[in-house]
Amino acid sequence: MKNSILKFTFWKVVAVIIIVAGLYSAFIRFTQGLGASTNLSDAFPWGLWIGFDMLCGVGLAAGGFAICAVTHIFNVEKFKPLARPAILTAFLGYILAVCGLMFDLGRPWAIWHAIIMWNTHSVMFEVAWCVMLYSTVLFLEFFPVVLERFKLPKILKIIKRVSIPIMMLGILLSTLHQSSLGSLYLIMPEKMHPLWYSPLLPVFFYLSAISTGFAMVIFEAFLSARAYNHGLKLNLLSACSFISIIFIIINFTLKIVYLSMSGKLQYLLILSPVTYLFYLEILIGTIVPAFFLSSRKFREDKKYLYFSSVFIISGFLLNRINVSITSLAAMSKASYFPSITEISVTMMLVVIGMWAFKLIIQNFPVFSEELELEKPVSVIESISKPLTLSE
Amino acid sequence: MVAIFVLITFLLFIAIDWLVLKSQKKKHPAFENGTSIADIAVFTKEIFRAPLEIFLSKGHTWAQKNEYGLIKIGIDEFILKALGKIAITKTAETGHVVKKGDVIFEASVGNKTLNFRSPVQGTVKFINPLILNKKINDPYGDDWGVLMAAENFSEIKNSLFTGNDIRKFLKEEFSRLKDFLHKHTLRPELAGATMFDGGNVVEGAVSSITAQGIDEFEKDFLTV
Repeated sequence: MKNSILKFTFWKVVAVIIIVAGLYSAFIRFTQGLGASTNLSDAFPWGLWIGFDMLCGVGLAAGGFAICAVTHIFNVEKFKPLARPAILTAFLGYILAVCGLMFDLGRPWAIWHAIIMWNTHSVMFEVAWCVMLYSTVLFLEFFPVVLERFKLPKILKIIKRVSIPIMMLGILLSTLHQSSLGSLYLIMPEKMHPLWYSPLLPVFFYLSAISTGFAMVIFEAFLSARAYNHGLKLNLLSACSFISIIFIIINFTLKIVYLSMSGKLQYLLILSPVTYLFYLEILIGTIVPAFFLSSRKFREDKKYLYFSSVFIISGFLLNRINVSITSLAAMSKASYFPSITEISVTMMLVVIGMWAFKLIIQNFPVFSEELELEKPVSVIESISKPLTLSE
Repeated sequence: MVAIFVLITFLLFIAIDWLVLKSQKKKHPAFENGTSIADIAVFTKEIFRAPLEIFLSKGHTWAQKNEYGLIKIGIDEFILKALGKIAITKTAETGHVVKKGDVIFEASVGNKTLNFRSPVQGTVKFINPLILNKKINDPYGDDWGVLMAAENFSEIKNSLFTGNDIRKFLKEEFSRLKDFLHKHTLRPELAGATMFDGGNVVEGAVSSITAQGIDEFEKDFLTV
């Protein structure tokens, strides 16, 4: 029996409510401005839209470049079945992060200025260019799926010939971009809480993006299995979790080393809500997943694998919101909690992303492995040539 | 507070989804038992795609002309999905003349043996030394079987499927496979309760049927 779009389900009803509320909020935002629609202020200009839509959205989309790096740079071919869904998630994640940015910018119609009005001393300039270029690269990485769907082998051959340079460019841009999101906060050391401010923020952002990228691949695999009854490639997901936990441990070690070398460990002893949030972030995002994923037995058990991915993502969300909101609020003493408009727009963007993902996997060969149009002549075939000539 | 709010919202949605599944008497894939369908890879008729340059026989062996004029022969992806782990144990020997329909590969599925037939007529020139007793993973790529100098390939290829016809043929074969499994499987749950309602087939489902069933599979699906 085919699914009908009109068939009501619990999540469809929830999604429609969220989208209607989001559209109304978007109307308020673009007709009455940021002041009327958000709880942002001059003292607190970056809120949920930057903290969640941009910092978390882009970080959660890191699975695309992480899997591409494994399959195309380190040539671990067994991860290839995970590449297409990860690239699609990354592409949608970046598009939605840009959409979120359009809501947050005071003058969104001027967003194109970064293309021709270069301010090479600004981190935001790097962020803007990386987002533009990497979104284009992600589109090109996903383009073969579209070409396969519409059976356009000639263009597909051309795209496949340039696919490796495209992938490498994507990994480079993503590395620049993920780290430059952390660099954004380097310009405000006095405005951030010492527990989160570090000159190593770009490194922390980059490492946490890689670990969460792999965790998102696991989380997404379970979501797909739940929705479409796809089999889980448990061996691959287990390997993803292992890579993820290695990066989590490296990130955590660097953080502790930095805190101790910069004399900031004393802040851990000041009992306040801010410190508790730091402890919570470490507990959820590092200690619990490290406990489970360091054991092979747990890594190969889908229950623990799933919960570990949820913990890693939760820890990541906490960290990014702590960096972008908690630490700034703690130092500026300004209070901020997002308005209903901000919350509904963010939720709408998430729902649109999930619907887009669903629509695309229903209509394009996302869960099929890459189609090889041309195999290079293998060594064995080369050997066989003289055989042919001699007979 | 914002951090806690975001965290609680994320976890709340996961918890609600769990409750929704529970109310529908379904299980989240993370909580399925070890032998659940979520553990087992499945396939549908939509997944079959083959390189544009190959010619496929009704017996699920393919032929592809390489740049030196030799014909590469291999087993198609449908067989991999239907049988699961399969390895070629014997091939026709180098120098032997093989007619179309003659056995070209002998393969093992568990402790059972299957014969695959040649899609073309010609002389075996070269055997892929990496293929014997190795699980086939890349059916149209590195895991080809033999190279042949084919006779009248330009005529024979007209009797083989190519391009879109391969997809159509494999879709029909998928439907035939469902009927076949319904008749022969010892473990109906591996074929899936919803198989005839458009559901998927478990990868390797054929390997779970009886020895007599395997013989019939060879007769029904591997005859050129």
